[in-house]
Amino acid sequence: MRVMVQKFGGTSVATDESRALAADRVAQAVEAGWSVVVVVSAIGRKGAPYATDTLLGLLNGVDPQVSPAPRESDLLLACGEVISTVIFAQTLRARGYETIALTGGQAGIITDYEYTNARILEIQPAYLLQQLGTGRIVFVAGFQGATERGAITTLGRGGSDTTASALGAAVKPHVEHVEVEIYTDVDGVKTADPRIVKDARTLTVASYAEVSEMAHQGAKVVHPRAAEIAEIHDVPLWVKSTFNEAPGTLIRRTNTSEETSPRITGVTSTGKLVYLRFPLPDVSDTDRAKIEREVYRLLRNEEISIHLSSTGNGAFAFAVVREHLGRVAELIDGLVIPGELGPRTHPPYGVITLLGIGSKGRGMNAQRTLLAGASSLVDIRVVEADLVENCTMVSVIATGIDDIPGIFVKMLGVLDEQGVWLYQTADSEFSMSVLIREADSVRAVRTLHEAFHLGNAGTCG
Amino acid sequence: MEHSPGTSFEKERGVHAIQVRDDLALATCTTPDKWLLLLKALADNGIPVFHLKLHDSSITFIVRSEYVDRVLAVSDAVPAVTVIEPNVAFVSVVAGAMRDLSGIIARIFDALVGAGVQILQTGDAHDAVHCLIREESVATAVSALQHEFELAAGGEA
Repeated sequence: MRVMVQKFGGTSVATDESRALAADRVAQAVEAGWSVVVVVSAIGRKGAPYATDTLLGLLNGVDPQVSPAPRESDLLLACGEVISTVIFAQTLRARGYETIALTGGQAGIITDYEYTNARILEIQPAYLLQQLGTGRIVFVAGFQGATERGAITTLGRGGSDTTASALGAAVKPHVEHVEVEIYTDVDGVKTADPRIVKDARTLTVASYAEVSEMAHQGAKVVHPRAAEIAEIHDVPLWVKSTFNEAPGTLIRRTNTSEETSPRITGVTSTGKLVYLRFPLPDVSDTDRAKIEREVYRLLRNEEISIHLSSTGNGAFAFAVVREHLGRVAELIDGLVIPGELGPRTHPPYGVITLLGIGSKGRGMNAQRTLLAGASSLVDIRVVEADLVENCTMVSVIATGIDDIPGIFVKMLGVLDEQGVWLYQTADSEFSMSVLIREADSVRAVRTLHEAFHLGNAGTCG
Repeated sequence: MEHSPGTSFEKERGVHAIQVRDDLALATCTTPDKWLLLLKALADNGIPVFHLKLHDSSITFIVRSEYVDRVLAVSDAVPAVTVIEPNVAFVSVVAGAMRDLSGIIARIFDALVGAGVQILQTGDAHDAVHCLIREESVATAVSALQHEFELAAGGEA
């Protein structure tokens, strides 16, 4: 048996017309001799009646002051995919095909109990394989599974991609050959967002690592979790368009792409970020570390993630997602961090550090007033953060960065020539990133895409 | 219905390894208007640099120890003022689904500051947080991080 797992996103099943095109893809695979598993997302995007966000809005709208129980949230959220799966199965049934529609749990997807972001523990594919063996097309609701006790769970962001990839991995040991196709509204993995770069090129082949890095850095084609599962189990993954006949992008286990390595894969942008820099020019490394630790502890308690952390050279700095800025300001503005008392027998006996975040909070001024009475005993060190709002991160994705001398410098130089101000940089095995003003983001992406010859007219370097 | 044994599918979430990369040097260029020229000159001379960080009046970057002499020679030629701190190492905390986790850096600081390890620089990616420390502190740092994240001794769990 040769199995094709096809996943269709919300836009692919949103209307009669798009559903008909998606059904054509399924029919083509069946006629080509594949046994087909179809994974379906909820119909449409936010605002559509059965879209995940719409269902969540209904639930939260009951009483915004009372958070829904995660278990019940999942029970509701899973409905969107169930509805679209049954409707899409009926579309193929109306064309004369034998079909069966399954929930994630019925398809054998067993998860842990982390509702709204469950992790797949195992998949028992016997029933799914049995149904394929009868010649049916098996439709599986994406984004969901079930605990071993039968409670419905959802898989979190990118859940339907994850379902498709995991089902491919599950059936692989039992069949002759398996491939997974992710259908979307673009015709493959692009070198940049085509809405930003008109001549963005579709990659014919990419490695799991490249695609995973692109997804982590903001590309929205395949969820990195799906790419990671496909890589672990060595399942070929295709990204194709529902709406045209372009061949798409093949993602497979190799460090080379288009048989060339090293190469520059693409340019991405992601995130609405705020950059906070705390200048500590005359502070010892030991005191700086203690101040940092207290700040990070507070953010940890509020489950606020930080990015682009940097320390040393008289400061420490980090970025947070912009929506968290208000909470960060509440936590840090006016924060008092006592230093260790010195061995002195007369004042000042030590240093107290008072942190502030500009106009975002009034805590520092209030604390400064309160601490005024102590200033005869200890030194008060006031540290006000430099705040850069409206930042974003632009990344160049590459394979074999160490083998492309000067690639990072070229990136920085090109942006410098364009007058794009760089607040911070980061680099990893597969990417180089810069933190810049969001207003410069489009210009930066276009400039880098052109500089690295990534467009249709260029070559991959 | 016949059940197959089932297959484990996903990466473990959370911190699963501590990694060390040593034999490195920390370079600090304190000539702010020359940093891009310096980096270009280093690239032209085939010297790979990584973990570049921009500061208020300086930049820092990492080079492998074998390149230190050449970095200083290139820096002199630019000319730029570059200070080298040799014998440093990266200790990295590696995690799956890092972006779904908060507080990793706080726990790293708790562990390292608590163990008396000075953190010279930090950096983060979607799957790791890196801390630059002096080589002499590596054993202490690894032990402290293994304890903090409940990993088995030996570097990776």
